[in-house]
Amino acid sequence: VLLIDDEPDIRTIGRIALSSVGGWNVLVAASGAEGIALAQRHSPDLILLDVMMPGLDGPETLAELRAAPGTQAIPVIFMTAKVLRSEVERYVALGARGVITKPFDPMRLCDDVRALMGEP
Amino acid sequence: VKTPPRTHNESTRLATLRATRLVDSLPEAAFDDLATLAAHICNMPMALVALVDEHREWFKAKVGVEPSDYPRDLGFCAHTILGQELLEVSDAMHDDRFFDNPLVVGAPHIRFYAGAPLVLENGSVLGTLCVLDRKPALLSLAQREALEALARQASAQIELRLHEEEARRNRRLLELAHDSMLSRDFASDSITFWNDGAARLYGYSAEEALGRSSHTLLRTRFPIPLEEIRQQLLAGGRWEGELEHREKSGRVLHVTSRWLLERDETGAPIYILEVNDDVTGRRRAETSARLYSDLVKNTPSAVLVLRCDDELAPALRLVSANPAAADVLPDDAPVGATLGELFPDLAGLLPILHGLARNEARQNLPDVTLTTAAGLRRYAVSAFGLPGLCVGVTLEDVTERERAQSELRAHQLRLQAILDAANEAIFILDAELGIDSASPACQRLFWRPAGTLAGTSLGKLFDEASQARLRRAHDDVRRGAGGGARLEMVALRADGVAFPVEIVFGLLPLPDRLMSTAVMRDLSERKEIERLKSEFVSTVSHELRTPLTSIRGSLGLIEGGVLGQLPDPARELVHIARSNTDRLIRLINDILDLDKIDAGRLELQLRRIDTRELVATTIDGMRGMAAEAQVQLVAQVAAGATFDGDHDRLVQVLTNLVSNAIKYSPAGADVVVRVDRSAEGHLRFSVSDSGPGIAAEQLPKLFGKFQQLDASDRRQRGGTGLGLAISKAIVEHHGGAIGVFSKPGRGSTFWFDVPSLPSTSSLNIIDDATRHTVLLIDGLGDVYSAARGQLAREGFRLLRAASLGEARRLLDRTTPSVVVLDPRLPDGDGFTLLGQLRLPVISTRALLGVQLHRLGMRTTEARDGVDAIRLARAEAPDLIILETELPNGDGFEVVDVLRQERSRATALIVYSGRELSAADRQALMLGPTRHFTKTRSSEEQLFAAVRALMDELTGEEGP
Repeated sequence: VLLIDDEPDIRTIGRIALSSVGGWNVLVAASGAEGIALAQRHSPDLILLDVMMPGLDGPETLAELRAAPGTQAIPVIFMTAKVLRSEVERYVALGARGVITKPFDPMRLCDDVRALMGEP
Repeated sequence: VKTPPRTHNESTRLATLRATRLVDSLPEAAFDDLATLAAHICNMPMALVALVDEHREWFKAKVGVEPSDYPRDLGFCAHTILGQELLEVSDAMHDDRFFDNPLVVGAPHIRFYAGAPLVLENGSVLGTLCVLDRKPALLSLAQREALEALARQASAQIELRLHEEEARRNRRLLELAHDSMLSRDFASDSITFWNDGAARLYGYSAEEALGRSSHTLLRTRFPIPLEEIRQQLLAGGRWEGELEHREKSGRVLHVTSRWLLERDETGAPIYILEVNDDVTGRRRAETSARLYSDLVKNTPSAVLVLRCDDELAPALRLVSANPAAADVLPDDAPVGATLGELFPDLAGLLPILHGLARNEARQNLPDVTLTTAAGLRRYAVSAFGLPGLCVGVTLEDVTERERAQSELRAHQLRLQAILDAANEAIFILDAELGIDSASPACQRLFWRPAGTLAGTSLGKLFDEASQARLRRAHDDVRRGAGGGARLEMVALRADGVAFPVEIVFGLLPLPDRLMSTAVMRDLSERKEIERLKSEFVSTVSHELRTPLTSIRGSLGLIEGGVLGQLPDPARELVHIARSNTDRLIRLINDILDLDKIDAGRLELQLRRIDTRELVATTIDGMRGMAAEAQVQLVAQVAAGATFDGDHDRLVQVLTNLVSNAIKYSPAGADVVVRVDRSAEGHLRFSVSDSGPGIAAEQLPKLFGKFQQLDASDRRQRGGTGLGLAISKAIVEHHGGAIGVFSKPGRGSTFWFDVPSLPSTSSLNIIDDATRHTVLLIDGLGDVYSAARGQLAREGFRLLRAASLGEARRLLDRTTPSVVVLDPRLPDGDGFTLLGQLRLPVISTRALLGVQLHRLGMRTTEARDGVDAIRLARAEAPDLIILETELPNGDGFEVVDVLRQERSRATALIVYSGRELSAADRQALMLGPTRHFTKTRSSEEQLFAAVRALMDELTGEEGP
């Protein structure tokens, strides 16, 4: 799993939650550009992508990922503190699998991700 | 020489002589012949026709005499005219009167004289016909008689002259006057002329009157002694005054009499020309004026009756005054005083009043200020002519009224100043939203030049979609419903820019009609502030959520034992920290929700919901909390219920209710979640607890913001105080309602209703692609009940939405062929749907079309007002069936336009959703017109009217 978020705290908590609770291998990136580079290099199974970031923001990063052949098929889940439904819809329309709203419960993060991925 | 005395009636005699105009005139054959004849018959050498004036005897005719006259005192004739008998002097030398006369002693040496006096009918002796000789002589008896006869001939000639003069004078009199006229001899008063006017006035014919003394004939009563009148007449040549006469029948006549003295060349009075005007009517008018003044005795206005002295001299004299006039009149104002004496200030009115008196007209005159005993007072003056050259003047004291009016004006000015200064645009409207007046702020608000708003319709200031809503709200207020209700609408500035306004209608009952007020405020600024506030709340919340995410995440991982087991006291503290972080997050979420609701931005994601699933999801989420509180969650869900709603939001509502129930339940109690069908096509969700219950007085506050019942309770129970307020908003956005049944000590049951779907069978029809589906959006159900049978027979599938929300939900899931829309809906304006629909939208016209087709008519359908006008022009139909509420120009506008064109005579049926006033009906008329109200008229009545109108038309025009 690749977690892209500009907040170091969130990266730390997300990394621990995904690895310790879910037992997944976790890569973290602090910006969209770094995330794209990591994704191209490691081809993760899933990308958790913060929406509001300096530089490339979430939707722009997603567009870049979708434009590159190596990353275009990787599922992306947005994470956002915004809660407007219409925005959620918009993100999904951009090609995301779903949205996880912040704040999230780290103990349930992996379950929520699995649910969005359609896994049991 | 013995000077002869003057005759006894010398002045009359001389006047008569002058009237003959004979003295110093040219010789005339008639008189010459008489003189010649006299000389021959008497066999005398000399004969004269001598006329004796003041100083001479002048010869009109002479035979054998050279001079044209002799001095009167020397001549013989002056003696002859003293009597009426022939005077014969046989020998002047032996006559005392003449023996020393120069005419006897010297040339022409007269010794004989015989003169016959020329006696006129009035007794005057003007002169003689005389014969003379230079020797003594004696006339025979025959000669004397002949001389006298010839003298009478001469007199007759003179008399003729006089009559000619008289006739000439009378003609002049006739020309002078138009009324009753007479002339009479100055000395004897005997009537010498009597015109037809006099005959008409007095009843005497000329024959009866001529020669009679006028005063005797008419039994004249004089205002002053006759002798005084005669003196005035002689002094000034004329006299005027009022006389009382009696006509032949004896009736008293009041006349104004004008006398003119006619004098001869010497200035001696001969005739009086008299012109009399009947003023009996005027006298009566004075009587009625007195009566009138009695009638007005009690009016507070001063009433004066004044009379013109006469038509020519406009002096007005007081005839009478009512008691109220005492306040106005100077003290001791005498009857007969002139207006100028009474009111010097009113002298300027004299010409006007005089004109009114003559025309018996009425006129209001400018107000005047008079000095009275009470000081300076203001009077409204009106004047009216009365018969008989009288004029009534009323003086109404308007001092107080003017003071009141000026106070009223000041009051109005103050109000106007407030209106002018007010930021709110204030309109005064008539029943049809016509603008009666508009405050200056209206012009500023709508960017319209001053004065252009009054007279137009308020609707013109709004877009078309808003006009129907505006009209409805206004009608409601006028009916007494919904007064003071706030409306938010989009108005149009003159430059076409739309902006939000708030409108409050109010009633303005005037004495004669019911008007209304509309107060409008530009909401642009407030909307902007609201937007900024929302943005602020949203931003702050977002900024709070980011650090909370870290805190919550860290605590969650620690509490979850991911980093290894914690000692019990530490885990307890971490739990406290985590759960309070959760509470803080919930609070922020709730505030965001409420902000969205307040801003009208709560969005519902509608999808099909199964009640079982909804309840199960909620209970699953609450299980942990229930277990912690040792409360049993029990679900009792009626089978097979599905409906459309926002799943997550309804879970939020139900969770909130269950969470509250758990919080207030004692350990070991049950919380029961039920779903039932309610009678009105709704589903009812309820959550019951056996908690302490809620006091009745607390119930109304429950659904407000931050309305937990007390602050300590909020802390203890861990809620935000916003849950029920949010729940209420969510349920209402679903077109439902929320409520609670509770009694202290008996637990509480919170419930909410949401509209259920139509039965599953009708849902199947929606999916049946082989048949046309009609969606009836019809809040009142009248169209539905009227059309259901008809549409079913025609093979349509029918769906009905009773509200805007329901219509939206149905339209999300199905695409009907046709939408039939009645815009009157409980939860909003049906017209707002129009923009979103890509479907043929009709009112009831599709149904009509089917029916009309059956009647053998060709129909063309217009979808809106603009279309209607276009089709009416293009098709020139025989009949127009028109609904009043149309998109894009309502029925009124359509009729207005068509009236200007050749369609003005087209038969019209107006089919209206609302009651039409008489004015509405008047406005909705073309040719033969019928009006129907949907709720009051059946389909059958409508078609009967169509048929009747068509029969009428074909009957008129022939096949």
